[in-house]
Amino acid sequence: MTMALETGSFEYATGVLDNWFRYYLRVEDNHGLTYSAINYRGPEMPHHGRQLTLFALYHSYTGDPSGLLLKHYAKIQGIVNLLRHLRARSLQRNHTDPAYGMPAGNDEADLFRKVVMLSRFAVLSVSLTLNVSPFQRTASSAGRPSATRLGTA
Amino acid sequence: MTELPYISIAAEMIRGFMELGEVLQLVGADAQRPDVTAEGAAMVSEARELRRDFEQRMAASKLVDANGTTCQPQRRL
Repeated sequence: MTMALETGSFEYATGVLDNWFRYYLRVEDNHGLTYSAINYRGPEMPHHGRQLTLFALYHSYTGDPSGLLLKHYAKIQGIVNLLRHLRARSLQRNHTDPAYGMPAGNDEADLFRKVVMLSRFAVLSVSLTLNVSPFQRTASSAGRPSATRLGTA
Repeated sequence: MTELPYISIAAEMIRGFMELGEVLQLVGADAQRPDVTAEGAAMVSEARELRRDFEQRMAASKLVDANGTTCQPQRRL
């Protein structure tokens, strides 16, 4: 959709977004928490936030003439609710914990069956890829698993 | 399922809440939907709070080794 927006293919982008809302997001209820889940084998929590940015990008490019954001507002709220839930849960950590306030969740949909236990921050973000090399050197010298090894655990 | 404090969740949440929150305020005003406008304003406010925590926690978890290399730590329990 980003490609379509940036090349001016707004009709196509509208179709992609409407299709996503209709068929790839489903509203679920879990003990009173109504949220939007993605029809995929596992969740990838950072992309839940990324979706919100893309909805905003769609509006900024097209003005949303079809009113998709209001039409599918309940599903948008479902994503927002899920992220709020993760954030609220993170605020229950001890205030001295470096992870206090940082939402926790699955970082990679394809690893959804893996159980990886970390003690402080997990920095595997694509946004921070450039920092991996110096980190790996430091991790190796400290006898800790590198990001690469962790990702394949 | 991994259930980790994962920095990218916070980063994307900050941006998503900020940008879509601003859009929802416009959409709500145009459609005369005060509930949507209020939701947008709430999202922007939450994004600011999360960004504050994000920056504090990044600083709190930073390590500098003997060579002066700075990194964000991760290790198994």
